[in-house]
Amino acid sequence: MIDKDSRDAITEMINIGVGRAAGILNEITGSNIKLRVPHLHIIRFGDLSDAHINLMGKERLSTIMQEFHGNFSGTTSLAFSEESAASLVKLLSGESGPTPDMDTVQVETLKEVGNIIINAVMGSISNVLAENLVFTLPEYCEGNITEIASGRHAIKPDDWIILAQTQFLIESMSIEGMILLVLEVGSLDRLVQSIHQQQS
Amino acid sequence: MSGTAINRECLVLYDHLYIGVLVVRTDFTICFWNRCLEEWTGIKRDDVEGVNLFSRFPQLDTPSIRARFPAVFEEGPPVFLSSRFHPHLVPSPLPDGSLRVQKGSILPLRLEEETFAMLVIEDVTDQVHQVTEYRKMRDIARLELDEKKNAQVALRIANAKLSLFSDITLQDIRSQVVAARGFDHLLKMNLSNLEKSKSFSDKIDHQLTLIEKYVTMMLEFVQLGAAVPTWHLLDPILRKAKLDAQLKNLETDSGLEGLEIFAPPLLDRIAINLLENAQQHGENPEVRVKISFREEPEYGVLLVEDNGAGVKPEDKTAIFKPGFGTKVKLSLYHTREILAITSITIEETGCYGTGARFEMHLPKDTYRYVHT
Repeated sequence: MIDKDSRDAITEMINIGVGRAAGILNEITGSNIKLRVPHLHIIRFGDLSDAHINLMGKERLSTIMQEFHGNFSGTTSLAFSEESAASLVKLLSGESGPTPDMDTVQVETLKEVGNIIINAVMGSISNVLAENLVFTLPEYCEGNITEIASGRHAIKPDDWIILAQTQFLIESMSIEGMILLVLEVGSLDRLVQSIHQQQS
Repeated sequence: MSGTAINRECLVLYDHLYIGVLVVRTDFTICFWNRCLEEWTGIKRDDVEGVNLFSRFPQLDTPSIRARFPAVFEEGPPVFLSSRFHPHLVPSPLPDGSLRVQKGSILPLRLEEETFAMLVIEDVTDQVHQVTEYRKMRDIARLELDEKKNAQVALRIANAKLSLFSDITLQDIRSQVVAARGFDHLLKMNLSNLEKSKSFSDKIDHQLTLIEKYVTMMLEFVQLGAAVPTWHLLDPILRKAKLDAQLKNLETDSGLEGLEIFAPPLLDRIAINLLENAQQHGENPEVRVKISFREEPEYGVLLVEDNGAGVKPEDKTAIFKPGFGTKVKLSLYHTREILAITSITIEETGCYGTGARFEMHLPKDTYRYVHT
């Protein structure tokens, strides 16, 4: 099980990352965007309960994901409910219209938003831990939380998942998303080991 | 050129791809510019290689691009640049003068112990145009669907109002029939008195004329329940109303040109009635009516003004109540109720003594301009 110091370190690294991402998003969109990570859950995939699933709702999620490989491997995703994803893209790009469906241009927009946040978070983690990780380009996919967590690989019950609730505060609106870090077996141990090495 | 020359053999493959590829060093010196970029931009590689990326393409010198390079040089995650936020990464004109729409990625490239950043640019002009066209079609379809839904709702309201109007008129017809029967009875009792007989016969004829007018009005109301609201071009309606109301002086402003109003059937009857009212109640032998339209932020305003006596303050509300005025033609009560089917409101806002002014407020989705 992960110790409190390591959990705090992960929370801080993710918060540093989203803080950087907010700066880029502000510049790119001309909006005043604030990003917050109020809650972090670190659990095994096999222990994913309804309570965790309900954090994002049971409906289909719109997700941007990037895989990474190195000393620790896995997938980082930014997931939204379909409606939140469409609202976010429309707010950021200044588009209007009531439909929750997204076309390819809007998907690309969401991909860049996801890429900015994922890169900032993962950049923060790999910088602090001085770890070299190799990343794929962002991909867009839809599915429920189990399908998203599984990604392209069969997820095992022992794989760890870091669920970071993320709030986008844009003007007067608050849009909820989720940063989902799925770590392959053994990767959390190596992540924690790196944290301990940095702390010692 | 900074640093040593890049090993081109490693990059020759990128000259055969139909995507733009440029490679920069950590000091942002361009050290590779592929053939595709030469073709798209008309800029030869000899003119850009060795030049600073941000000096040559200052539009890229934004924090959202520049600030994302260092992580790539550190072999961090690749950067994705969407066409929404960066539509013209490297300006590439098309034959029609417009610029290609592009999206890009910045990837780390490790060559001979040195890490470069490779900007890969894709032309997504067709894709973006297709999406734009799709959005237009989707918006039109949504608008038509909304109109259809609105029309169906309006038709239900119209049918409800129709039964209300019909009840009133059927009661009136029944009263006239009862009166006619009474006069008929009196006629039969006075057949020997020619003068009285003629008087009762005239009264029966008058009752029948009224019944005929009521039936004509009922038939008009049937149109309300039979057809959904549609778009009415106002200009021909006003021209016809002017003739039917025998109005000599009708002035219309340019705001009415090409104006269409979404309303139930009988809009033409409403127009005639408003003009006839001005003609009959204006108390002015030279009645002039002015019709104008203007747009406010929330709605459109259609004004029908005359230079007659106007409406007394105490009658401004009463004129829209059932039973006010004659019962043999569309009343202002009917006018208000019919317009309300598509959420158009009407009220009298003139000053008594200077003329009547009927002010209609049209919600944004009940008026539009068409090319005539």
